[in-house]
Amino acid sequence: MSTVLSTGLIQVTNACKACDHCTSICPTGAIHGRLGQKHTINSQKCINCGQCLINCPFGAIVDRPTLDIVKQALNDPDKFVVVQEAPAVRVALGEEFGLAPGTNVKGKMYAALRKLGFDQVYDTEFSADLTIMEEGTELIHRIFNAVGVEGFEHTGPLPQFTSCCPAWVKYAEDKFPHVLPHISSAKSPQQMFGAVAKTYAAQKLAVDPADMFVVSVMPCTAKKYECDRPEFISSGFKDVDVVITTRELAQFIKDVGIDFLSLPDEKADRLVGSSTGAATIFGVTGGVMEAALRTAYEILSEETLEKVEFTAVRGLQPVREASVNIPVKALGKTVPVNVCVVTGLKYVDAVIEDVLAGRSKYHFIEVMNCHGGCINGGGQPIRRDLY
Amino acid sequence: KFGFDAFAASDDYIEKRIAGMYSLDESMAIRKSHENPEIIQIYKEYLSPGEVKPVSEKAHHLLHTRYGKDIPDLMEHLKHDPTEAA
Repeated sequence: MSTVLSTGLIQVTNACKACDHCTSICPTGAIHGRLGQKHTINSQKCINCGQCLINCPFGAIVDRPTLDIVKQALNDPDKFVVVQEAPAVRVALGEEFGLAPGTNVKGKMYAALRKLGFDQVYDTEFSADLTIMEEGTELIHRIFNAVGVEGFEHTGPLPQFTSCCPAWVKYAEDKFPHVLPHISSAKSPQQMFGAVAKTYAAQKLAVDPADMFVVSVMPCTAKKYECDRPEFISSGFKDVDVVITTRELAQFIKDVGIDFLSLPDEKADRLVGSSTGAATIFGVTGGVMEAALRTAYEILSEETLEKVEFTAVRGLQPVREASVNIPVKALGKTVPVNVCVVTGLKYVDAVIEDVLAGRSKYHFIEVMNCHGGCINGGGQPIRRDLY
Repeated sequence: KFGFDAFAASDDYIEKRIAGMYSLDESMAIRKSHENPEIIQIYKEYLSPGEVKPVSEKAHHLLHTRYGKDIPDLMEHLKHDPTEAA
C-alpha cells in the first residue's frame, strides 16, 4: 500500500493509473484529475462513501486504516472493549474466506470476535430496532401534526427522510441545508448503540463508562467519519470510539490466525445484543422503510400484520414508491401513507427539489448512498474477481 | 467508457448479498422491532421507566441529534446537561 500523506478519510494512492473510472462513480464530483493524470480527492466535497475505493480496477484508493487502534485497545488491560456489527457485515464477511456472496456467517462472526478478545459481543441490530422505535414514533408524530391532532405542534415537517446513512446526511448538509428539518432527528443505529452502551449497558455491567471502549464493525467507510463527528458525545464520552470495516475485521481474523470456517456458531451477548428480522434488513435498500412500516402499521392500527413483508419497497430500481393504507385506530379512519426509497445519491436531487417546492406527495423517504444499500458499502469485501 | 462495464458487471454479488439479508430476516424468530424483548426492557428499565415510550426525555437526549448549523447549539446543550452517567 502506498503512503498516504493528506488528511482525508478516502485517499488515492500512487498506484492510480488515472483511468478516470472513479470520477464516473463519485456522487459529489469530489475526485479531480484528467484522464492520464493521477487523481486526488477533495475531502471537503467527499462524503466518505468509498464507492470509488471498491470500484477502482487497480485497488489504488484506500480508506484511513483503524485496525491498529482496535488492537491497542484490546491489549490495554484497563479497557473494557465492546463491539457492535452492522447487519450487512454478516452476509459479506464470509467472502473474505472463500464463501459465496450472501452466505450468512453471523454465528461465526460472533465466535471470531470473542476469540479476538472483545469483552462483550453485541449487535448493531439491537440499535437498529431502537432506531425504528424512535424514528417510527417521530414519523407518527409528524403525521399527527400534519392532520391537525393537538399536542404535536413541536414536530418537524413532512415528508420525513431517514437518517441512518452518514454519506446521505453529509450530502444534505453540504448541498441542501433547507432539507435538514425534514431529516429524522433519530441518530443512526451505530451512534445509538454507542450512546446506550456507555450509559445503560455500563450501568448494568457495573463498568465505568470512562473505561469502556466501543468498537463498530461496519460495511461502510463513512461510518468512520460519522463516529468522529464532535456532537456524538451524549453519553458524556465519545459514544463510539472507533470503526473498522468488514475488510479490516477479516484482516484481523487472518492476522491472528483464526480458522474462521471451522468456528462454531455462537450467539451475541444479551442486554443490547438481541435483534429481529426488521433490524437485519436495515442492510439493504428499502429495508429501513420496510422495518418502519412493520412497526408503524401495528402500532397505529393496533392489529397484527398477517404478512410482514412489504415487497413493494424492495428491489434495485434507484427510486421506488409505494402507498400503504393504515387503519389508524386513534383517528378512526384509514390513512394512506406514501413512501419513497432512493438508492444512489445521484437520484435524490429531484426528490429533494419536489420536497422543497412543496409538491412532494410522500410522507416518508428512505435514502441510502450505495447501490443496493449497505451490503454494497465502501467497507465491504472488494469483488475485483468479477471484473 | 472503460469503467462503465466494470460497474454493470458487479450487480451479481449485490443481488446475492441482498438475498442473504432477506433469507436471514425470514429465519428470525422475531421480525418486528417493537417485539424485541431487549428493546422493551431498555424502555421499561431506563429510557422511559415503567413503560415503552419512545422519544421520552432521556431517549431524546441519548438517541436524537441535530444537523448542519444546529450542531453548535446541540453541543452547548450537551456540555451543560450531561446524562447522569452510571
